[in-house]
Amino acid sequence: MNDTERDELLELANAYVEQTLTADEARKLEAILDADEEARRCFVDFTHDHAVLHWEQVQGETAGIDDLADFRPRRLPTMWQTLAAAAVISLLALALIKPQPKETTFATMEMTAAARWESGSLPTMDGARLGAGTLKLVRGLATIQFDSGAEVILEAPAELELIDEMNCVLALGTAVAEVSEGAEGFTIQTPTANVIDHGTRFAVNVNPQTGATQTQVFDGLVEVELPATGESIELREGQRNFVAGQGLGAVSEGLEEATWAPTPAPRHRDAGWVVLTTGDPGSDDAYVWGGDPNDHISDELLLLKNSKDPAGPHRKSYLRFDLSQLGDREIQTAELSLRFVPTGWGLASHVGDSEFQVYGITDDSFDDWSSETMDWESAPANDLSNGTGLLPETATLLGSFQLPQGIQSGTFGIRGDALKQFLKADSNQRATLVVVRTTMENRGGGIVHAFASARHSGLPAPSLSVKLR
Amino acid sequence: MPENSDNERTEAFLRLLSEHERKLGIYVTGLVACPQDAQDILQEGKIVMWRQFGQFELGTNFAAWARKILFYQILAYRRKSKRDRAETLSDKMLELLSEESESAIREQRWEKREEALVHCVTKLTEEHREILHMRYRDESSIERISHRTERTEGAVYRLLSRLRKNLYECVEKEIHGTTA
Repeated sequence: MNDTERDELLELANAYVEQTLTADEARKLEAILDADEEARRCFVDFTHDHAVLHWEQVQGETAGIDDLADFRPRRLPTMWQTLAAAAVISLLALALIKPQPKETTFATMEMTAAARWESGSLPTMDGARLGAGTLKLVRGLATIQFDSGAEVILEAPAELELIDEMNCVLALGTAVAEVSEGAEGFTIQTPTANVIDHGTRFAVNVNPQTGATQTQVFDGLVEVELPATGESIELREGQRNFVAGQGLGAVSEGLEEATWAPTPAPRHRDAGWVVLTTGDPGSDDAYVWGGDPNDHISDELLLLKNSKDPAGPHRKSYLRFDLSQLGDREIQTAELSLRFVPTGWGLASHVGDSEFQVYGITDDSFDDWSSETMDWESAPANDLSNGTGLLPETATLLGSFQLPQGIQSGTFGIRGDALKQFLKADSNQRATLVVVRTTMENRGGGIVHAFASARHSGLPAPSLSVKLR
Repeated sequence: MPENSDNERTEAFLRLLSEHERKLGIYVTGLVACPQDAQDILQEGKIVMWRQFGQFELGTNFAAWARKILFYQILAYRRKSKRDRAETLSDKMLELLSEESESAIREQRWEKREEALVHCVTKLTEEHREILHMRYRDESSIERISHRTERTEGAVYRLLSRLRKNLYECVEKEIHGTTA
């Protein structure tokens, strides 16, 4: 098909869409389509675009078999409202657009990551405006921005009912809420408790079987109320509480890892353990990027990405631990823990289950880097040609771990003999580890993985737990 | 059949239907172009799906099963409607186009198109977006748009045609052009 032929086809396709084809034109269109598969492809794509534009308007206006069950028709706001406020923006930035609020809507689906939804009553497209209704997340993550200023990250499996801009009901699963100024009083109701925020970041987990509610406060102040009695307690930064239905549980200190993380971080309570972090003096962490990072740069996170495009953007993360605390004692076991969090950049659906590798830099003279100055070119042992490699002469593979597709949160890391031997072989009391993602995105625009750096305000820094003899 | 499993079956059906309804609607609208016709066909099709749901094997591809039913509904609808057959495509051509749609779905080409389309609409001028709004969101006739925008009907028709073509080309470029 040359350009003229294609223009003619598109002109006829438009007449088909507008239903203005004359008999002559219909014959002509039929002949063109009959003769050429490429023309048919072009035609169905063109009418598909038309159908999408139409269905953006009537999405969710469903049913007709109403008598089968409680199956209410609904009319949902979608793309047009998102676009109302839009200037020229990138597709990914679209997720961040604040559409003009409508009276019936009070929140926005900011971003979904590998989200799989079950039939809820609300739209689940990125950027969609949300009113009252239910969201059922089967897999992945979704961020809901309330107009009040509260942000809720829903972690699958979870079910959340939106009531209004200050209230929602978590029926099951985990929600992490960040409530900015002005939205104090934002409340997450659960089957057993009301968790009322007073300007903070906190997480609520509801046990699907029992409805028991666990609340953890990362920073700020949260009130947990027993709806039956009105009795309440306050939780502050680093505190947690468990309501199992019988009454308000006690306030406990310390954040509980195991509930939230797919692979719980081990607790090092016995005396033999020393925990080093990249925030310790003499330690450091940084990530380097190759190619254009599209302004996707973070101060608090260490980023990882293996782009399909050899030119990038790629990202590799470097960690340096000061080992002087370990003294001369023999290392029995060692373990690296990284706290992964979603970045909001790239599409989880473009990257499958992801494998990450941890390398140790074997040349001790390379331990002398600084997060202030290091870049892609100067990063030690970096193979500049791709998003995952390190130069084998100066780096050795210590282990690997996996994050299933759509999982972006939790504590992950490595342990084992290779890591132990690497630390034992160190001669300058400093060890540099490099974390890379070996899994390449299967399409461009794939997700950027990340874990908290030592500069992260709420999450633990990368840590190296060492058991000494 | 015990009542309980009947309820479960109803629930399974409603779940699957609400999950796939939008895409099924897009499939029908793409083939028949006229949104009102598509709406009627989808409506009829849903009733047929419900009646035949007993033959659907849970766990297999519901959308593909539903599209088959809908395609027959399209043919039936065309036979019923009194439109002059000379002014549209033949049944045989619709079948070829339906096959082409199936491969677009199989290749996930339409998912990519939809993503790109959202982006491409944002690149339009305010005025052009407003005209698409009127046509799609408000389902205004060309006549009504011509009144509201003080253009001739011919001009509105040509503008819509141009906008659709530009969007088509923009989407093509997004998909085959760059990566993020």
